[in-house]
Amino acid sequence: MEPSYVVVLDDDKLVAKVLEDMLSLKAFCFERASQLLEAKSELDPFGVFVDIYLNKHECGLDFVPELRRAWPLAPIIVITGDDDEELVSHALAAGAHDFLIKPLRPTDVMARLMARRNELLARSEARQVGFGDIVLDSQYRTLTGPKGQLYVSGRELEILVFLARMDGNPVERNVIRRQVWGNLHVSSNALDRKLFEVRKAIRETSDKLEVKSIYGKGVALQAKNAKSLGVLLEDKEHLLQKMPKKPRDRDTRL
Amino acid sequence: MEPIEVDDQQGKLLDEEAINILLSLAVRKKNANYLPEILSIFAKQASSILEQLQHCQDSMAQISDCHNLLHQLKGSAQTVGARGLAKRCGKYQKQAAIGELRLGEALPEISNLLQASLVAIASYARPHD
Repeated sequence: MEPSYVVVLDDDKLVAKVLEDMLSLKAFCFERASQLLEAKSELDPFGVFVDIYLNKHECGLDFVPELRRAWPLAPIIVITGDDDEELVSHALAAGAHDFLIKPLRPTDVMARLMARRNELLARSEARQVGFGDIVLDSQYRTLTGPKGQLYVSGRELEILVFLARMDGNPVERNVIRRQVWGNLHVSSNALDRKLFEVRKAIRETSDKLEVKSIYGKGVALQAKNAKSLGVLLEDKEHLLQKMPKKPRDRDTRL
Repeated sequence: MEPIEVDDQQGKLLDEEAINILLSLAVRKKNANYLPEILSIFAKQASSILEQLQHCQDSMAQISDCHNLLHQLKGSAQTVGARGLAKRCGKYQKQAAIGELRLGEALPEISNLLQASLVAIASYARPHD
């Protein structure tokens, strides 16, 4: 289900009130960035509006990268009262997806929010792969599971995505090598080193999955044991609901 | 109330488009009191900012505090369509940025503009025969 609220980081309560009425979405207003950062794990907003100048000499732009990491599918839109081109370019350089200049206009607010949201969703469809209780994100190069989130290198991520897409079936080492390195000559040691890192990454993010070497068959990303498999299957519906947005378009298996 | 000396032609004092946006939201929400509610929030926030600016003057606070407060008031004024006030705050904000703000002169002017803006917006929004 799509989130039904937006988050506003602004010391001007009027902005949140007006945005709420323009969008017909609940707006949670935070006057201080520290308050928002404390609450971020509890929130999953449709979009985020950030003012540049905040109370206590805080600059909203400083928090944009962290908010992007927290909510990859929520567009971050900077609001400013200055039509200063330099500020706008600073906002975009900080990672904001768009900007709005006051006074806010309903059609403008709605159009920009929806356009940026749709762009992010379209991008995520191609880049996220879910398997069991983990999610791989090829744009942000992250592996996310119940135990946490890790950044993984490009090759390791390719191996993980490939194994996840095999739906638990084992894959020959040569096939992995070809898939990841193409025709490049790669030693067996290089693949082993990568698989070592991949196993470690899985261990650090999930208790229920592991990368197994199956004699005569190859390598597989599978549930650790029957009990884990049962839990993962039971949790599947729950996981699909928790995983962001448009589950039917995502590559989510197990 | 004392007469207010401002450039009182509504075209300069007010941003009619911004006020019309708020009036259209009132229609959408079917709330005849929407604009008065918004103006009440604005008036409260603006009074608090003026108090803080007064405190800045009394305590010789850092000039960056004044800059931020003026910025905040400018933003709120833009939202409610108080264009004259927003512009004046912007001007003082720039002065604060280069250390040339004279709060003793600026505060009464901002206060007068605030009162004039509230009256003018309410008058603009009142249904005419």
